[in-house]
Amino acid sequence: MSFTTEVLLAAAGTYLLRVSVIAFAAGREIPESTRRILALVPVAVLPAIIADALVFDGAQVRDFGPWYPAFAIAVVVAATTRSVGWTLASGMGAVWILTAVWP
Amino acid sequence: MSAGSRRAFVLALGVWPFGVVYGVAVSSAGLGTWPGVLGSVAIFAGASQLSLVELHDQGAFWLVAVGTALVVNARFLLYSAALAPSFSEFPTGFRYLGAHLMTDQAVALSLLEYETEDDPLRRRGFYLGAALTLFVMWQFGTLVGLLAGGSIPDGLQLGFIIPLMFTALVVPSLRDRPALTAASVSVVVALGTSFLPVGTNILLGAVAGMLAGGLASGGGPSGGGDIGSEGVSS
Repeated sequence: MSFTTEVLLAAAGTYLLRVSVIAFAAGREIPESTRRILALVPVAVLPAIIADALVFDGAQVRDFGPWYPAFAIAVVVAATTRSVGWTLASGMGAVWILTAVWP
Repeated sequence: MSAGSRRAFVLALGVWPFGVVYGVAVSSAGLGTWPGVLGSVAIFAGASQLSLVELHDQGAFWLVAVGTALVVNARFLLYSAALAPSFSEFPTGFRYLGAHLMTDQAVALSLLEYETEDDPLRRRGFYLGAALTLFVMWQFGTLVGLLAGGSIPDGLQLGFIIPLMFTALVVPSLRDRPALTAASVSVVVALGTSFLPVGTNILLGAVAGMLAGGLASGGGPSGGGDIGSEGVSS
């Protein structure tokens, strides 16, 4: 099957995932207890993506190297500054410096 | 709308190089400029676009290639549920078009904003501003990667931007017991189930984290837990 057809199929499926509950829930009352659980979606999804990207390099476990300490620095910067810009800058800066000096 | 785009701008700067990586992947697999652009406009979800290119390039059966992309994107189902309460106050057309612009970043920023913003019109403007800023940057990055075609020096380690971007988004929200429980359980389950097909472990981690966080919030009267919160600066 051509790449373009696969793209169109993936696009249709992805749109259905995105619109699913939004379309279904329109005009219905969503109970407070459900809202409380749904408010946890970002804090449940993002750490899983972060951990997966950090610990795995493709199918392999990433060897201990510059990524781990650079990530620790970025977490501290994110917690203290709450700034996206400083988190990205400190993390990328740290990983480049650490890579240059890593034994 | 400007508040949302302002808040999303720095994130969009991080999205840009990731778009370049995708564009380069498409062009080095020889899949053509237009199909590459179509992927970014119509799928508009980086990790799944990259997995589709990779699997197609490796000659995977189409059902496997498309199915993997959809598993990677299954988290949008959770985002759809998370946005549904606020989106139900938006006009129908906005709901259906806005859904397509959904990204990790736009959802995380909007839900954070909605904790303190109740006006549907301003909520809508914030989402649109954030989502469109990210959309435009993603297309721009894709085009640069497709047209440049060459390879990106490994030394730049652009892949590291992904965990960084999500760290910047999630850390300010980790300020009460339900959130910390959800995050820890999610990490443990996602890493523990990493032997499953790509993307599945993230979905399982997210669902387990939500359930654990929900249990942790069930006991206290504060629920979402704004007690002790320091608020979030922009």
